[in-house]
Amino acid sequence: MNILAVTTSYSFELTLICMIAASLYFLLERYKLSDKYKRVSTLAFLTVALAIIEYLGMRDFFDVQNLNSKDVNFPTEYRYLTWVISTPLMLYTFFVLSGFNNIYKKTAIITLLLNFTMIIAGFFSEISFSRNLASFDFTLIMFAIGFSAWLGIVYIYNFVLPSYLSKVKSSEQKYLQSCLGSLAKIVTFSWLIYPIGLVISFYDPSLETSLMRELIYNLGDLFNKIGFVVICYFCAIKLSKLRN
Amino acid sequence: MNLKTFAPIGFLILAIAAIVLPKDIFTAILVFLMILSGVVTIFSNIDIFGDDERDK
Repeated sequence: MNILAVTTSYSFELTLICMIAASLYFLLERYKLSDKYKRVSTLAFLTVALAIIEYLGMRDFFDVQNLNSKDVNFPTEYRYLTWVISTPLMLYTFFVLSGFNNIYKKTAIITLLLNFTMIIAGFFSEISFSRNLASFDFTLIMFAIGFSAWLGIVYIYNFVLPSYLSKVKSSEQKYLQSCLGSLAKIVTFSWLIYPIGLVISFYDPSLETSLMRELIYNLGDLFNKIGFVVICYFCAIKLSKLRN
Repeated sequence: MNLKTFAPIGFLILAIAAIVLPKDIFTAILVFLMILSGVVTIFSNIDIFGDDERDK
């Protein structure tokens, strides 16, 4: 067992602890939000709290016995279960924060459908490759579908939602623009590590690369999930103060 | 262009470098910088101490 395996193993623990801390924070600091924005706190709490359950499973899965075996098993199913639950909650949090969930319902539904397509296609792409369940062509087709869905989400967060913001009250617009700018960067750049990690594993299936990918996925989950909802939460605090 | 613009891009570049490059002591530095860029991404976008300052 090398140091990379141990570090990867402990990165599950680190992410788990941070998610527990974040979920408690969203609950305890909920009083700072006005009634209109309390749902932001609820969604932020659910995003990280549901991920905690999956991370408990993944942490137990990635134990010393597994790390010492010749064929290390990776918690792919757990990971995709986490993503399929938490990512729609994350993306929907901004719609609730801005009130777009009521005004632009179609855009919200399209975003959630694109997200669902991205995760499911990504799962079939990864599982068909890692378990040799289908041909490599099937893997690539599924990857292309998932990647296209992600591009759709990037387009919505970078071009569609900013255009909607121009119709928002000017006092709220400044805070929402700043929040959306940060969220768009997370969706565009930080989320890109997931498809890149998958593509690299297609062409370099070595154990070291797989362990490194798991470590990066854990750090990615940590900053992308908590970062995304915490930025929405702090924007909600500012908007609550405006209303008061 | 300020720090918060570069942090998510930096996270991505460091992550790619950590996966692609040989795994050695340099990887540990890359992982440390990744954690740092993640923390910068979050903390440059939130206003933790702003509330207290306004209350004063």
